[in-house]
Formats: sequence, structure tokens, C-alpha cells
Amino acid sequence: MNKNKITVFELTTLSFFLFNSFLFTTGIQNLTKQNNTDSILSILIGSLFLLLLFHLLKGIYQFHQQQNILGKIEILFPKTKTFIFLLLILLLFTTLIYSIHQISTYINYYILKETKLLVITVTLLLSVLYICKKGIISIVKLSEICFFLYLFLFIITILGTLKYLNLENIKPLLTSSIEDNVKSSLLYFSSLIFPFFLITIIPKAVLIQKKKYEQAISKGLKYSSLICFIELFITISILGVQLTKIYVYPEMTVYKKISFLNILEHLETTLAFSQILNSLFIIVLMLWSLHALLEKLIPIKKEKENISYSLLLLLLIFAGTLLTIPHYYFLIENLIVLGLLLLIRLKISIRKYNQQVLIGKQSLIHFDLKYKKF
Amino acid sequence: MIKKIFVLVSILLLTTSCNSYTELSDLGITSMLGLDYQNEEFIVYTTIIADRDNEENKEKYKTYHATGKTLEEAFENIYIQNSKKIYLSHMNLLVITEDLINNQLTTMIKHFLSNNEYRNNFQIVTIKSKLEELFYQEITAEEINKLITINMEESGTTRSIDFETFLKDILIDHNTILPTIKLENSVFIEGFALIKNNQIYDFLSNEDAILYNYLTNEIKKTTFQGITVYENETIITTKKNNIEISITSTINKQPELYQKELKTALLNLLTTYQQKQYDLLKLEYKIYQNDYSYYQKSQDVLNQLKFHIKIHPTIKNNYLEEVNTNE
Repeated sequence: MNKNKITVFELTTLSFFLFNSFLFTTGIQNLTKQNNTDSILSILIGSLFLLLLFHLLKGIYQFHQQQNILGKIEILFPKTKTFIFLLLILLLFTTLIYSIHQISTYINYYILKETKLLVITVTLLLSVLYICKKGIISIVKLSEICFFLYLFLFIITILGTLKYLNLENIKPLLTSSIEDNVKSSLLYFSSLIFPFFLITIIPKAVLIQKKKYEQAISKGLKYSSLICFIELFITISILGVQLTKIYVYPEMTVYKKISFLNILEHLETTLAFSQILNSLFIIVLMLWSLHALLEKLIPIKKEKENISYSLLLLLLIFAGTLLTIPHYYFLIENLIVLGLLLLIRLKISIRKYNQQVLIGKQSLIHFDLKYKKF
Repeated sequence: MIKKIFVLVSILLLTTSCNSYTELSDLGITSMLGLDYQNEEFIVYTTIIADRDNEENKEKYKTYHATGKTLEEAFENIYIQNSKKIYLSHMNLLVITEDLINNQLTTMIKHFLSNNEYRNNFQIVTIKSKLEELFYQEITAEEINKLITINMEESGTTRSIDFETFLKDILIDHNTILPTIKLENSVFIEGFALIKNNQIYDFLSNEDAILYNYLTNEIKKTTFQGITVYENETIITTKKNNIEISITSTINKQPELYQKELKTALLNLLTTYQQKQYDLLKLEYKIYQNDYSYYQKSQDVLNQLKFHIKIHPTIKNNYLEEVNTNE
């Protein structure tokens, strides 16, 4: 077994967690506020949009398979690469602040009520730093272990909530206007563009079965959409749309209800761990990418990595105490990343077209020379 | 290696409650909470499970009360008398007064929603008597909850409502019901309090509460005009503005009389509240769920409702009488 390679399943699990970050960054509440009970359909429509985007972006994965997205940017935009890297640093930095703030307040509110927010943030970032330092291969391998843990917690949630399901709460369906359906589907869609970018950090060549790279990402997206759909369905059918709209994390209210035979109760803190997993991998990959981007601009020696990571974390904590990033800002950032990904895709297409024209011209010249000789 | 140990130890220290922990004996586990609003002040009553360290102290619960301009202030004032941290996660019952409902219901709801310590699955009742009497008569939350559960199963005069159901009903159309208790030497069930637009709208007597429970399919066992009902099932279906109510009951005698009297009583209750513009069964919302296109087209759905009640009584077999007849 090659230790420097990853399997298809490992990549699937990582992309699953990245796409599942929707439950954490945007969340069920925002979606339900937009489209009431029809938000269940929004996930389905949104995931179709995402699959379309995925097929559109396939060209990026196939281009220079040894390189990750940063290397590809260097090849495609040799003149403007510094500007693009700076823009990405800004986007990643602010999104990281948003994500870290979200997860820290979540832990503080639901799990460690007595612990100070700063202590939680520092502890979380220490764990994130430890994972980042292990490198991208270890991050992907860790996601596989966490996937089984997540699945176990999810099955417990389903078993514990079955008795509370009330399908009447899902009614009425198909009542929202096309505009509302599109808006909420786009909300789901636009929350998940960063994961597409972060996956491209892993070069195709790292995979044992290179051909199945796209298949792994697509599977991760499908599994995540299914989990989001089930989670939303369970939440609305138990709480009803009115209650779902008022709780920031309605899943937690559902978890509070779970008890097995009146013996196993108060499981919400344990089940809340699944939400932490949803956010952990996106934070880890963002930090890793941010560091990699900084390395592109400022050459950092391998021995000085600890210092650079620590400085980055300190800067994040400091900026996090000063800045509050609203949710709409997070969505705008995702849309900027979408623009960048589309630009890269376009550039690859133009490059391919030019190459084909060049090959055509060369073969024409070759043919011409042969004809003259003849 | 040293770095790894340092990271692990620091994570363990920070996340395993080594920092700012609370001893179990320092927690004032609250089982019942009472809220009132008098002279522009909140009054909070709380029953806390007492320490059992001291064998001489045989009190199971201790009661505290405090006032404050806000609910938070009132809670803070309880700490002046009590050295324990009030722990609300195990709260079983919330008792609220008419004055609180009429003046500060939304404030109370906001307080419960913003405080994550409440589990929101506690029972909620309204009291017609003074809170002080209830809390200083050493009546526990368990006793009141049992009283409600037993009456729900045996007499059909009440039903338990938890905070989440209450909140959901309020959010749908600003109306809901709450079981009511009163004190006369001991605790009594007193039907339901009807709430509309964050105010007490009306009260349902125990007799009307039975009818209401018939309509909401909450009757397990009851007595209606001297006829014992052993089992009951109510199904409500909506077809545009036609509300079809089908009641199947197992009774001990006089099916014709039961059929006639129950139908009259139920129709009377439904039309009375329809005229009063109070949607007792949340039928507007049911129509919104089941027939959305009709709901969109219609105006003033509540006034257009037509009730069709069908009652199917069956007599319960009395094996003892059959044996007697055979003899």
C-alpha cells in the first residue's frame, strides 16, 4: 500500500464532509426561512445545480494532473497569479474567521457552556493545526475514520427520532413560487462552492485510481445531499416548519428529544459531535490552503512551518475578535470563488482550443513539407 | 514527541472540564418553576431538590421566590437566598398565572428560547389560584404531572402540554390551550385556559374539556352523561370547508342516547367558538396543510367551516352478564 497515495473512498469521505459543511455554515434554519416546507425540494434542486457545476468544472481536474489548483493557476495566469493568490488569501482568511466563529459559538452554546469562547477557539485551532501539520494525505485518511463515526451518530439519530416523525408537518408541499424555489436552491448551491475549490487542492495524481477522481467527488456530493435532505426532512417533520425557523440549530432541539427506553437520555451533546465533524474538515482544508497560498508568495522553509502556522493562527484569533463576518458575506465570497473557478475553466478551454489549432497548423505544415518533397 | 504530549495535555486540560467545573452538590436542580407578574414585576418561584447530606434534614425540596423588573433579574435575586447554581435542565413543570399570560407571555417565551439550559420538553400549566399557595404547600411537580396524566387517561378532563407544543401552537396562529389547575386544600384539575393573541381568551370547564379532548383524539377513558367510554378514536378530515369528524367509541350502554347527545354537545362547542372567531381545533391550519389551493382562494375560512359529525358507538361485551343469561 502506497502511504503517499489516497484511495477513492478516502477522497469520497473528504468531499462528503466538505459538502456537508452546509449544515453548519448556512444551516437548516436559513433554508427553511427562505422556502418553508418546500426547502426539502430546494436541497434536491440545489444538488442538481451542483452536479451541473461539477460537470462544468471537470476540465480543471483533468488539466495538469500532477498539480493542485494553485499550481494550475500559476501555469494558466503567469502574469496575474500574485493578484489571484492575494484575492484567495483574503477570501480564505475571512471565510475561516466566519467558520471558526460559528463552530466556537456552537460548542460554547451547546456543549461547553461554562468554558470561555476564547479557550474553545484556541483549543479547536490547536487541534486543527495538529491535523494540518500532518499534511494533506493524513487529512484525507482522517476523514475516512471520521466518516464511520459520523455514520454511527447519524444512525443513532435516525433510530431515536423515528417515533417522533409526523408527516403532517411536511404539508403543504409545492406551494412556494418558482422564484422562492430558485432562491432557496441557490442558497444551498452558493454555500457549497468553497468545497469545490478546496477539493482541487488535492491533485489528481495523488489518487491510487486516478480515473475515479471525479467519481469520488461526485459520490461525496451525492451522499452529502442525501444526508442534508434526510436531516432537513426529520427536523421539519418533528418540529414543524414554525419551530424549525426559530431555532438557529434546530437539529439540536431534535437531538434533545432522543432517548432509548427512557434509559439512554441526554444524548444531544454526544450527537452534536457530528456537527463539529461537518465543520472540522472545511476549517482544516482552508487553513492548509491558506498556508500553501502564503508559501507561494513568501517562501517558507520546512523547519519554519511551525512558526508560520502559529503566526497565522494568532492572526486569525486576533482578527476574529475584531471582525464579525455576516452570513451574506460568506455567500458573496462563495460567488467570487465560483467566478474564479469558471475563469480557470474558461482559460483551460481556450488553451486547449489554441493547442488544437496549433497541432492542426503543425500537421498542415508537416503535410505541406511532405507534399513539397514528393 | 514532547510537542505531541504538550498538544495532547493542553487539549485534555482545556476540554475535559478541568477548567471552571461545577460540583454536582453545587447545583440547585430545579424540578418546578412558577412565574407570575404583579405590579410590573416578575415573580419567580422555584422548587429545588434539597441536599441529602445532612440526615436530620428530611426535606426533599426547598422553595425559593424572588422578584425583579425582568425575568433575569428575578432569577439573579434567587441567588441572594441560595448558594447553589440554579440548574434548569431537569425542570419538569412550569406553572404560569393569568397575569403573566396577559402581560408578559412573549417575554417569557423569549426567555425560554434564549436560555439553552431549558430542554423545552417540560410540561406547562396555568393556575387559577395564587402561586405562593402552591409552592408553599409542598406540592411537587411530579404530583401535578401525575394528576394530569391520570386524569388524561381516566377522566379525559385534561391533557398534558409540553412547552414545545405550546410554542408551536402559538407560532401557527397565536392561539393555544393550556391545562388549568386550582387549589382548594389540594390541587384540582380545572379544564383548559384558551389563549389568543397572547391573552387569556376564555376557559373551558371540565365538561367542555372532555368534548375538546374528544375532538383532538385525546380521550382514552371517560364518562359522558353517565355513559362510560372505554375506548375512543376520533378522525378529522377536511374537504375544502367541510370538516368531517368521525368518532368511534366503545361504551357500556345506551348507544342511541350517546350518539345524539354527544353530537349535539360537540356541534354546540364547535359553533360557539366558530362564532367567537376562535379556531379551537386549528382547522384553518389543517385546511392550509391539506387543501392549499382552496385556502388561498378563500377568505375568512373559519366562518365558512361546516361540521359533519358521525358517531359510531359499540357496546363493550359484558361476559359476566352473558354467563348470567345462560344460566
